[in-house]
Amino acid sequence: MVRDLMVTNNASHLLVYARVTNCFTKGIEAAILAGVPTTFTFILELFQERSGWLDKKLIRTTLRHTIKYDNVKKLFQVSADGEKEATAFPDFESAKRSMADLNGVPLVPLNALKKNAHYYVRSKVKLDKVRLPLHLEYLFFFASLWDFETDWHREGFAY
Amino acid sequence: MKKVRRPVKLDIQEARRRKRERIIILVTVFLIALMTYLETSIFRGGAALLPVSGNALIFGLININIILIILLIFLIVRNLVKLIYERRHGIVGSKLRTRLVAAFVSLSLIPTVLLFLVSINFLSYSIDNWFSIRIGDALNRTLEVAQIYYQQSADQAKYYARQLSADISKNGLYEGEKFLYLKALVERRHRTNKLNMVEVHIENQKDNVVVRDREYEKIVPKPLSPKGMEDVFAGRELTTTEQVGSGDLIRGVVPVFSAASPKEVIGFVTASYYFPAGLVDKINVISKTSEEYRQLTLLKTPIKFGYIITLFIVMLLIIFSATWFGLYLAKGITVPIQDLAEATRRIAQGDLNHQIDISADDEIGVLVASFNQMTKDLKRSKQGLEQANLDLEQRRNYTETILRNVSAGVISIDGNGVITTINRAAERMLGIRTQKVLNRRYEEVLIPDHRMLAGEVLREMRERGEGFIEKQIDVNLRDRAMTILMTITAIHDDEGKEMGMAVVFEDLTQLQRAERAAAWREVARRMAHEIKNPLTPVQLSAQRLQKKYGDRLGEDGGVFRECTKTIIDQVEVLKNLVNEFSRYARLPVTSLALHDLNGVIRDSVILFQDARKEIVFDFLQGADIPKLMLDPEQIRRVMVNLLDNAVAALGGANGRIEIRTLSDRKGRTAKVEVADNGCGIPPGYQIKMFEPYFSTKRSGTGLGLAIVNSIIVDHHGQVSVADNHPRGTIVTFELPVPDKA
Repeated sequence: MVRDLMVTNNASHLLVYARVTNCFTKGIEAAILAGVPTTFTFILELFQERSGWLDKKLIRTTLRHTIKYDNVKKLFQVSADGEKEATAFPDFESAKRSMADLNGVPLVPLNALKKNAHYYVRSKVKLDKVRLPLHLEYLFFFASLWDFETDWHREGFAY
Repeated sequence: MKKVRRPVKLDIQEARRRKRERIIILVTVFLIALMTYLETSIFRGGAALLPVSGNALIFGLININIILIILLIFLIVRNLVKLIYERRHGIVGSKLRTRLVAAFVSLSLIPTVLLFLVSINFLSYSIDNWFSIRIGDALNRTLEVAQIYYQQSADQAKYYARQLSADISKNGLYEGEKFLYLKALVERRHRTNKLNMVEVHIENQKDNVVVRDREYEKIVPKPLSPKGMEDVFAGRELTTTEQVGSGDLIRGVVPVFSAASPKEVIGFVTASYYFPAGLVDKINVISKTSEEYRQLTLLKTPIKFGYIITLFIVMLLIIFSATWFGLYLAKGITVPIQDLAEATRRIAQGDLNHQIDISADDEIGVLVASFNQMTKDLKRSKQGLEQANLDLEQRRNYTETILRNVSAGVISIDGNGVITTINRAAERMLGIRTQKVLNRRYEEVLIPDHRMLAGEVLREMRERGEGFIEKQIDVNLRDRAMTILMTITAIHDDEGKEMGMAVVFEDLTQLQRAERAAAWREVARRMAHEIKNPLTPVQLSAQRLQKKYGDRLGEDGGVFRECTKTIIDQVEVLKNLVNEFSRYARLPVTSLALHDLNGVIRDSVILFQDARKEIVFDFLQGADIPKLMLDPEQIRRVMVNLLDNAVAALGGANGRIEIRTLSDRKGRTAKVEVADNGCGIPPGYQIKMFEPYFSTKRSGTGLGLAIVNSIIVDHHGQVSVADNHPRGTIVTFELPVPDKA
């Protein structure tokens, strides 16, 4: 589930911090160690609260964290959207932390927000379809071995 | 000629339904094949073909495939259930169809299941072999070799870097003026340690020393990461592996400490080995194979399960296809058989217009064509037979009509003595009813006297050997006597075989009676003429003799008078007799007019009732007797004669005479019966009763009934005598009813 969802800002953007817990089941860990590239997709949505009407969705952003284990070099390569180079971790724990954390993702420019308005950010994480060799994931579509998707977690703020 | 296969409406519906079903099955099979191909292609081609909706499409395709398989199963099962139902209800062809389907299923089931089981075992064994410990170990070892190679290269690089760093620190080569020495040292170490690249970075120095192999001169290593720099300047050694160009660069990074202050890092030495693309690719292959192997190990059970499912579906498809083919083949045989059975049934019911409408170029087609030809031939034969029967029936009717209307009675008897035909005249003549005697042996029907008579006649016929006999016989039937001319003719077929006989009767009673009457009239006339004439002189002579000599003879005069008186009296008697004959011979001419029969009869009865009060005369008048053409005087005379005879028959004791008048509308006659309970008439006398001079009375002239017969014949009627029950006699005369009455 998504924990520690925190919304703050820097000079120009609204920043979001979050952490996913209990996302690495034994099955997923075994798959990662077996060299299966595994991707978490973080979905971030910003809503403006409106009384008496449906809340207005201002933006929806998705971020993908992918982990791939290099068994020759014994390195866990964690890459995120927008980053050119993957970060290599020699230990699994560091790599898992890197996968589960969102660190200051700029969600929206501050000038897109109205003063004194109430907003909330909601977030959830899901595991992308695991890529199996020979594309067996399509054959075993019914065996959702490593599928997971968290509930929405919400954090409100006033600007 | 109409061609009917089955009830037309049902036939069309059934044919349409079957056609639809066949199309559905073909399309289903085709779609299953197409879907399977598509799915396989997509698996091989990868998701790249289906960027966004790949999952949904695959999911959809698989689901459609499953639905199609279920549909196929449903259709097959439906047909099987139908087959079982038909078999239970004993529908023609169901047994053969069941047998064929069972044969096909058995033939396909046994090898398919066997193959399936063997395949499963083989597959399980193979999959287990793929994931066997030996292979896993080998792959792991290979991977470990790669890992160790990387690791050792990194360690070696670090080791050489450490040596170089130590030399630099020890000799203070980091100082600017010793740069050339430093460079020479680095080059020497690069050469002697067979490193691909050696770099020395000293703080506060303008240039770094970088020595690399000529072949890798274009390779530019990445700078250390901030964290790496941090670690190095913190005094920690590190190794890095990074992709540079198409190969991997393994670096050992060691800090360079100041000689003056050994804990102070003043730079770092990097010794690198470069793994070219060829080597890296090979290691990657090892890595990838190992990875895939590990991943597949995770999927061992699902893979096995997937293969089993696939094999199972293929097995089902083969079995269903075999079942369907069996059904299809059986239908090709049983449908014509069903049609043939149906056609046979229809033909048995007499519908020879029925034709089977199946066009086939195989043996079934030949059979159907032969059957249709046979039906046509049957129809033609039947028509011929019907026509012949019709002709025969017409001829038979014609013969029967002739036979029915012929005045002679005809009875035919077959070879076994069974009566086969009786015509209407025979019925009437013999007083028999056809249904009582028809198809019975004539011996059973005849009374003993008649049976004996028949036996005698037949024996005589056989003795003569002419094949026929004509004989006049007097027979007494139940209530009357008849004279019959009987002709018996033996019947032979074309081959001379005896088939029975035809008996022809002719009633001669009336004819004979009339002939006799005519003869007797002639006799009477002659008698009257010949006898009457001499009688008067005889009588006159006797009277004269009596008158002349009666008184002269004295004592003998008494005898003489007595004798002459006797002559005179007897001549008188003779005269009377002759007069009677004369009257018989000269009956007055009958004048017929419409009169009430009952009235005429009543007059006569009253006359007798008054005269003979000791006798009961019971006159039962028929209610619906029309007026008849008759001569009342003559009929009265008839009645007087009949009543006279009846009274005489009574003998005077407890006498009762019944007079009945009846109307026989059917026979268009009126009957008058005079029945007494007197002494009756012996059977032998009945024939002769109507002949003149036949009398059972001592005083009778014997002309009474002859006159009666004569009068009734003049009235175009007939007289008959029968026994009365329990005793006595019934004399009946019939008079015709005029047509207009």
